[in-house]
Amino acid sequence: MSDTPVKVVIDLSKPEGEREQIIPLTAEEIAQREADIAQFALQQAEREAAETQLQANKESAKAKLAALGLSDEEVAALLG
Amino acid sequence: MAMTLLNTVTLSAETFQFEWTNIPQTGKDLLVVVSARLNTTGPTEAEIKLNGVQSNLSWRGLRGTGTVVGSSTNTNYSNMSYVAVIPGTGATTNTFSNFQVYVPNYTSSTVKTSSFEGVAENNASASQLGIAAWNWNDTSAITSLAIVCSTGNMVVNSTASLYIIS
Repeated sequence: MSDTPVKVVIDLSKPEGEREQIIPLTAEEIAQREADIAQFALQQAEREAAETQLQANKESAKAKLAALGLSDEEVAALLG
Repeated sequence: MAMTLLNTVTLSAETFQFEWTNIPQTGKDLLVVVSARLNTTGPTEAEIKLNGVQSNLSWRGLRGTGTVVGSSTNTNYSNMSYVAVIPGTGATTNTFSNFQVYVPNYTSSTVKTSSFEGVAENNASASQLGIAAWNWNDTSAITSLAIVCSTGNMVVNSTASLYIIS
């Protein structure tokens, strides 16, 4: 059994019953897929880091506003 | 307004991508409805690729994970555009994602904008749902559309349907 990844292509110009093809990837496509996976992981990590930093900044801002004497309700009104 | 089913595909082999090609240029909008599950632990994101192009896509999304609400923005996304989260073997057995992507004016010669909404089902607090809007900075009419999972493969019996709205 081959471990070659496949893609499913549905050619809508063909009659029903003849449209779907399961096509093994070429070496070039496999390389592109591996590059896409690596890039996705990198971009996902960047997004998650940005979200984590944003959340930390919000918590820090809330703490500083509370230290100035604002109530929780007032802080919530400011930050939404 | 009429909604016409062009095709439904039910995967008979695990794959990371399914793609409709030669989409008829007779409609106004496109609607894609997907139910999918991964063969790896997951979850992972599903992405969209238009006309085989993996550039000029940007998006902004909101998501809830059961414990966290977050937003993400990607401009000049050099890969593909986020359209959903797909659960994997780490989620409850036999749970699939449900998501849909709406693409208005797919035959137009202007920049394309679109939206999606979806959920990665899981009978636990760590489920995920999301909405997003994305932009494809390309004026070509859309003749092919692919849904791609970012890692792993979609399992057999994952399904996807493509509709045209005219």
